Amino acid sequence: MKKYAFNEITTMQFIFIISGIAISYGFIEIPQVLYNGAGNSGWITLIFGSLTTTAANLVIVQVMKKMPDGTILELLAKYAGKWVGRAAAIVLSAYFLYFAYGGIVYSTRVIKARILQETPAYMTLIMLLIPAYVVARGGIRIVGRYAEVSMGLSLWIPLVFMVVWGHTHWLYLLPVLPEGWRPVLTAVPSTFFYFLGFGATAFLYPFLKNKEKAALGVCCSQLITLLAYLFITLLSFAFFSPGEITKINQLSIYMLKAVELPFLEQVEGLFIVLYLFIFSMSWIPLFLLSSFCMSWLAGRADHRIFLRILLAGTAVFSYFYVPSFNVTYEMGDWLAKFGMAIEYAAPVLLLGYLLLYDAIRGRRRLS
Amino acid sequence: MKRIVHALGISLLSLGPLTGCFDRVDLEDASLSLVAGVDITEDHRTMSYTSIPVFSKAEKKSQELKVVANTQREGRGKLDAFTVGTFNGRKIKVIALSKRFVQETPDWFRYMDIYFRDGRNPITPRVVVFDGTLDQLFYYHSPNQPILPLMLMGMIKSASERSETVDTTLQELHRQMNEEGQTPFLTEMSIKQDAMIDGTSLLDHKGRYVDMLSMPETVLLRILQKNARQSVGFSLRMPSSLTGSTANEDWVSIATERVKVKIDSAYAGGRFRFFVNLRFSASVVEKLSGLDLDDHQGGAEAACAEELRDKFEALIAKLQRKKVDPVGFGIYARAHHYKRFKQVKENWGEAFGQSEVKVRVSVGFADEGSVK
Amino acid sequence: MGILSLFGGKHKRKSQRPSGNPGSQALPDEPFATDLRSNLDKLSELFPDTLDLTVRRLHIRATGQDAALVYIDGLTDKIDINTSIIRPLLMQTGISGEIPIEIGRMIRIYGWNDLTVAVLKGSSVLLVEGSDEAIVMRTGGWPQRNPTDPKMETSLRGAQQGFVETIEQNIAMIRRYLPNRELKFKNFNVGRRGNTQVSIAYLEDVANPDILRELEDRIGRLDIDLIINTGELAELIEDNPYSPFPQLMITERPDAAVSQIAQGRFVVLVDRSPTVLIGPSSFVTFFQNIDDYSTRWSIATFIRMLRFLAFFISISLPAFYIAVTSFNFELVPIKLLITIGTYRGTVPFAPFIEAAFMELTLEMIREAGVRLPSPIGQTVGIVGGIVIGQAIVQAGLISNIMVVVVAFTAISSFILPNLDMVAAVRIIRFSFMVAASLFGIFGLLVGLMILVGHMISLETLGTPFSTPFAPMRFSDWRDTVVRSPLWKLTRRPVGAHPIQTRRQGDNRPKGDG
Repeated sequence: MKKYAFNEITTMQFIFIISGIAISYGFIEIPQVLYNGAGNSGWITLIFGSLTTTAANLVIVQVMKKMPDGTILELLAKYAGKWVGRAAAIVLSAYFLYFAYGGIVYSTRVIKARILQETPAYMTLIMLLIPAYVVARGGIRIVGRYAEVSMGLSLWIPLVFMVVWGHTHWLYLLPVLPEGWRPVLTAVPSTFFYFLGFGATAFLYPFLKNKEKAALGVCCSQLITLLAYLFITLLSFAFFSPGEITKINQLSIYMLKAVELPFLEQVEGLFIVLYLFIFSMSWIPLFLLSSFCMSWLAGRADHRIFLRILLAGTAVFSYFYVPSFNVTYEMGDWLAKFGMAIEYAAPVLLLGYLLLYDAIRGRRRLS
Repeated sequence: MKRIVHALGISLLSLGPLTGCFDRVDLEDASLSLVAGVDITEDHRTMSYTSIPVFSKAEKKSQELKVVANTQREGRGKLDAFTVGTFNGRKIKVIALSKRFVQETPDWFRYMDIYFRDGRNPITPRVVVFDGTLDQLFYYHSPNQPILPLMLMGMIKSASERSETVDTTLQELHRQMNEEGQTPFLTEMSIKQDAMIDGTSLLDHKGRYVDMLSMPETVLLRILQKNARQSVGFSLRMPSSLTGSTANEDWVSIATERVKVKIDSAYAGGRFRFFVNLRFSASVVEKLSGLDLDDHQGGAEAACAEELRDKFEALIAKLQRKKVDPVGFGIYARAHHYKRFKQVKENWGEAFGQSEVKVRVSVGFADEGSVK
Repeated sequence: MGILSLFGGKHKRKSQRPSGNPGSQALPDEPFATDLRSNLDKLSELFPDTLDLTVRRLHIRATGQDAALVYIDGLTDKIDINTSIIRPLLMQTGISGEIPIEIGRMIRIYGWNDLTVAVLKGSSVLLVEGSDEAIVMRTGGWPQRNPTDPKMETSLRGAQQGFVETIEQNIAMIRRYLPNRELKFKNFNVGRRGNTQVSIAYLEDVANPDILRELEDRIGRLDIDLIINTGELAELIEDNPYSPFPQLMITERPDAAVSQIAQGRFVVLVDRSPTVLIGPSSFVTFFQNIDDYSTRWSIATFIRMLRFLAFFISISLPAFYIAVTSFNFELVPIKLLITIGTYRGTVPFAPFIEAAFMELTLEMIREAGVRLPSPIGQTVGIVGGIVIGQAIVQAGLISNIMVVVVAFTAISSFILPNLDMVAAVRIIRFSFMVAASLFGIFGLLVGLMILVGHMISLETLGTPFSTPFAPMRFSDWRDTVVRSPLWKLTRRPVGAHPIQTRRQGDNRPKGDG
């Protein structure tokens, strides 16, 4: 039996992990961000954002091609020295932990606000940690399967939103570009936050079964993300009048509140809990990656011990303090800054460094 | 380790019932407010009304309460004192506002804030304007009607399905209140012999009550909004030149099969111009005169079209006179003439009043029925 | 490659068990003496006070030697011994100097341990004067049952033959379906005292050798006294004994077992047990039934979907009821809500107590019905029907809606074709009810997430339990939620990891046109 045969992830799992991390709470928040930035032409901004992200993601794949059997940490350790690798492990571990924590707190807040108003937030949060442990314990390939299942179980989402169709006013999408291109282009960076998570590529790459399909996978996952965002953005732009769109939080959830099905009323409660499958993609893989970085740092083969520490730490910490919604948004701003540095800027620099490194070494070898 | 996790899980679950259940309210212990009402007293203090179903073997199936309170939330607190269970607004189906409240309270829409801010409250309750004091409505018990919420829901549903009133939910109202290019409209009802729907109340941008539309007028409004349900019927008067019969007999009733509404906008001469193009495809359901539809189909269609055009023009003239735009012409204006619209968006009602609306109607008979 | 192991899955079995069968290893096999008398002394020393041990001394006419025939009375076929062994030995005159025995299967053994095992398993052993070997003859004739129709897994169209308690017969039944050279049986002896024969049946050119090795390894490592039933073996060799889910399917139908062998799976037969294990089984195999393949595919598909729906209903419906009556009643349409409220209004218990009480009553009635002989079993049904359906509601203890929910749940769980899966469903249902009573619909969903997380982490014999949903294998979907027409099933399911995937050619009926 191939020893690591069952430890690989398929291209589809790769696609779903990457787009799952991105979509998770972007799906709830992005329409408003786009509207605030670029008005009713925000969806154009979205396309630009997606293109930029795809490019950045492809850069990561390009970097990782230098080290098909190792993660970014091995690559750094090999090309830039052991200590650089360790430093990167610490930084990335912290980044992923922060990302995961932000995601889980956001979900907790949404549930607290809309479903369990009187239950203490820490209890909700701890409840969410249990499935996280069950899944992340199994390692990358289980998370890959989880991504598939959660995406599969969420295919009903577009269908539910179709019910909203009856309440839409498509004229709200006109005029296109009322204020010209400027706001559209200046708003592009604000979308980056909602595409974050593709940095996981640098860790997933060595596990990919078909590495030559990595670039294709990246394009597919970014396309899925874009389509999901476009869908929800266009729908909410057509649903809300321009005056109210800025006054409402979490447009996607709010839209569903207008839905009345003959057998079910106030669908949004059910939607939020079922949407947890997607929400959870913003913390389960990231807790895993964070604990993975730690175990790499410690040189241990088993990531689970660190996973337990992380989750238990999160649970204990949450018992004392769970950030409020506003703090969550502030955390999001910080995360956006870190994320842009780590996932957009750093890979480009790294690729440059690697090319230079190879060029110099190649010249040395020649001379 | 696994065992520890399991033990942890089990202890957590068993601990739960002791500590948890924070949000638990058993259905029979909850006082579900199904209808909420807001009225004002003589000295302009707001009053909260509510209707709660009673889950017991009691004769009376619902309980109606009223309190005077500054805010809706305060009202809830006061109402809670009256009810057996915990007062709960998560299932409100209808919000009734008294006409006086809507007329005399400036900016009354802020009282609705609680429904939007609390994430568990629904935004689908229908909002109705009640012509009279809410005492009348809430303490009205007709022996042959179901409990108040079901009665109101049923009335609004059936009337709006015939397009005779609007189906404005709280969310729809919120959208309209925040829409520069459209003014809000609500269902209006009253109690005469029995509870009945009167038509549609028209509100201005601030939410102030302006006027009302009768049920036939509402039908026209909903056609213009491209929101007419099923088929709607009109009884139209044919010119006697066509029918050759006496005035009492020259009526023709038609039921629409399909209505195509096209609204074009333009800006010229310092004001907006709208071209409303309506194409009806209808079947004849009743004819009193001896008009031969085979021979005079074209003439009859044209006559119907003219009748309908008059009705629509009268409606639009009324709206323009009152400076309200429930149709949403402003939305067209914004979509196609954004720069011009921006100049008048602060008070679109005014601009709409000055704009020019041209209506063109054409009617085609699709079916003349099974008799000649 | 080190990092790949970092993310490694779970560790396989916990501890390394001592291999081999200690019972036979404990004392080195002692050879027979050539002297018959001392051999018989030794025999009586080995089997003291064994009343059913028969030692028949006789004189072999053909060779002129003295001999002793040793067997256990109850375990052997007396007619066989009399006519095929004793009579030829006594009567036949030999020509070539061979011992005349008219029995097909005989082996020579050279030590006492083998003799003990053989005698205790129902063979007869012939000890001959002047020889240091003994002859073992298969004369097994213990109380046996004829193959009857399977009791638990009845089938409308399938064969009316179920496995029986003798492994030879079970193997024969499997062979009847698959007269193929590639059908192989690997034998093991499990249990120090029980010494149970366990056989793995598989198609050598189809089944995956890695999984076979894994299975052999697990069975070989067992160090146990006795295995009475297949279920015990399943629990000892499955991957995750903490899981509520069965990971190896148990069946009593030869046709079901064979159809799995043909798909590339392995069947483990255990002597003395009328059921066999099938592995690796995935979640969906528990929803397949042999009848699916003999009814029309469209109907079979409908029934499959019904089963998955039933699975979902029976794990979550009571929990959902609790959630909507104590937490999330905004989900219920108003008219239904008022109806529920009117019924609930007179009930003195909280929904969770109500539901738990009713579900427990149902489980008790079911359990009572299982163990009782069938005439009394029916009474239980009547009592249950009256108690649950009528009295409880009239007494105002439980609401009507709850009775509907319980009945619906019960019917849903009856649809599932596999008993072990039904058992799993019950456990899950109760935990979901607890979760829903704490956090309402959110608790229910967290429960569902844990369930999904657990299911995708679960492996059977090193293959994923949740295939073909995760990892997603669309080609396998043809025989999961839907049952495609048979001619579409041209490939064996990837979930069984077969090494030969092609199952059949194009068999699509063309009709006359």
